[in-house]
Amino acid sequence: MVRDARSRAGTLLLCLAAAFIPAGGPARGGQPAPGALSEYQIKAAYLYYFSTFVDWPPEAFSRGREPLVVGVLGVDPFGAILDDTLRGKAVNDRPLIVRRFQNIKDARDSHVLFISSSERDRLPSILKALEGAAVLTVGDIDRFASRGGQIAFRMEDKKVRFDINVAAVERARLRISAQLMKLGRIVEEAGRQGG
Amino acid sequence: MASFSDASVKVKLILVSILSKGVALLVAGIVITSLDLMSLREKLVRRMSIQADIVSANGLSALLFSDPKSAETTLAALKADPRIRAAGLYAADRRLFATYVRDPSEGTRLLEDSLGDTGEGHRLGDHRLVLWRSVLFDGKTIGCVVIVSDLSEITATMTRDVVIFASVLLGALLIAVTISWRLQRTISQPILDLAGVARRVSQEKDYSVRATGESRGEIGSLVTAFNEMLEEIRQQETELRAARDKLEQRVAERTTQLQAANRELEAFSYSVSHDLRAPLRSIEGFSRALAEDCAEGLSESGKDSLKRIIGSTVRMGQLIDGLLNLSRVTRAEVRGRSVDLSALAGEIVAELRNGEEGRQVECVIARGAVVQGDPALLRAALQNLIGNAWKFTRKRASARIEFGYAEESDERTYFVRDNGAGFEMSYSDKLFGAFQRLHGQEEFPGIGIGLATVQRIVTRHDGRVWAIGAPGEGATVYFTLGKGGANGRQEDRAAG
Repeated sequence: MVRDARSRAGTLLLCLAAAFIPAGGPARGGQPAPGALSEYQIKAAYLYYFSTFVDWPPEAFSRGREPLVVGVLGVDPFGAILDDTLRGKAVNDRPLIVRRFQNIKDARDSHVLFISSSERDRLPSILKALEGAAVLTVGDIDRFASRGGQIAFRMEDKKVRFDINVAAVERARLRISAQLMKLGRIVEEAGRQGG
Repeated sequence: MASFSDASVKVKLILVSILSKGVALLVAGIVITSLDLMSLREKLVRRMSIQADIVSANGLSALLFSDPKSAETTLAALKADPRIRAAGLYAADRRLFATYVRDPSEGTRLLEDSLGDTGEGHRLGDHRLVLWRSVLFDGKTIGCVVIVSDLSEITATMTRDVVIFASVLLGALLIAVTISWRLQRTISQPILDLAGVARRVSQEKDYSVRATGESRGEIGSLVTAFNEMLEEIRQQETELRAARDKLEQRVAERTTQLQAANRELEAFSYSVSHDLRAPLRSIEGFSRALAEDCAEGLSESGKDSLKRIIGSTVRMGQLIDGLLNLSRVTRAEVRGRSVDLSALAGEIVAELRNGEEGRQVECVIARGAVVQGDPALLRAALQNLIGNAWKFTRKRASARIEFGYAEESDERTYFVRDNGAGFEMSYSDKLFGAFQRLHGQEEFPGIGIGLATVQRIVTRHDGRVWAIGAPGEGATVYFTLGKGGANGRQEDRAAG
């Protein structure tokens, strides 16, 4: 338990630092901060934050305090980082749990789904499989958002930024807070048929 | 405050009115302004904390996703509030994450060291309000919002309040002065009138004046009481004056009656004395003729009787002369002149020595007794006094007569002293009566009118006369001469 608590505190620190240090601003920009966090540490924290700015429809949860499932589809780029980041966290009294999927059929029950770049080629079929499911899809596949994903990570000035496909979000019956919307770059869906 | 107690009722009333109203208004104004200031400050703090809460809520995601640009957009919304000079979003490690400054030339100076120690709070200084709020995420502090606000609005409002209050105070005092100036008349005017009437009464002794006043209050009753008092004084004064006039009239009547009676009496005694002389002279004349022409035909006892008749007629003539003298002294006019009593006394003593050369009498006369009075009357008085002394020392081997004066309580007293027969003090009241004699005719001849004459003369000079003596040890007659004696003394001193 003691070890557990310590690691949790450490994770939080890491996570906060991940949020702030890269944002140092022009005065403090330029040199990277000592012990800078890795890209995936930041992305793991962002996954947690996303879950706090998104509302799921009631039918997405079968019971009152059902956990909020953060899934990873395909080859996991996070490793233990994601588990460490989300451990002990909760959103609206729902504990966050991490699940890893290889098959999209299993991933429909998750609430946040990170689609690994290993699934780059299968993306259209994955998105098709998720149609009608209240799942927030996040990925760092190139042009993920414009290809039908909801939130796409991208790197800008060595900082992690993201694009939002509002139409995809709406299709999934999710509501993204204006707070999150104003931070992301809104992108249109390209070549979507039957939309 | 001594000058205040000396001031007129009018001034006092106005001052009291202004002072009380001014103090009341001042206190009310200070209280209202202070409350206003407090509520303005509270309101400002409340507004700013709402702003801070909004910024905190809107800046949360920017902090989480480390997006200072978004945070600055959020902060820029504060531009709508002109009071906000600067605002800042701090990260958890107290680094400035995003800023907003109203006046770019000021830079972030206002935000430096503005961060409070605790999660939320504010500092209200003289010129600005610094307010901070923590930004919480998942129960943890992930940053802090700081808003620096101007107090110029409060200052302007307070200035306006003070100006309005000062004008209201001034206006209210002006109105109060005007009103109290008019109202005080109803109080002070009757008092001033009353004071004026009282002054006139005490200065001019005119009790017929009356105070005017129509009010029914205490001042009205004061005026009424004052008037009643004046009326009473006036009545008493009238009565007093009437009584005095009556008394004076009665005294004047009595005096006139007395003077008339006195004059009648004097005229009567004068005419009687005068008329008695003629028959007396014929008695004396025929008696002497009888004694000369028919002496041979008369027996020795007849001659003796005739001699006695003649002696009695001489004596009676002397009596009549004395009476006439006395009457003349009473009627004579007193002429005031400077008279040297010492010189007079010397002359009289010399005359007496000439008349009776055989006697050895030691005479001591003090010099310098100069008085104001009638020379003839004073000479008659001294003649009587020194003549008496000469007469009553006849039987003394070493006779001594002294004329002198002494100072006695602001009054000069003159005296004639002898070491003659003297008198019994119990008879002293009879000494100065006319025809009163204490000694037998054979022992000391006289008609008993001398001291009566002296008394009349002294009285007519406003003086007093009295005598001290003892049988066989001599007598001293003292007299004063009223103002005449005093004048003489002053002259004497001037001469000395």
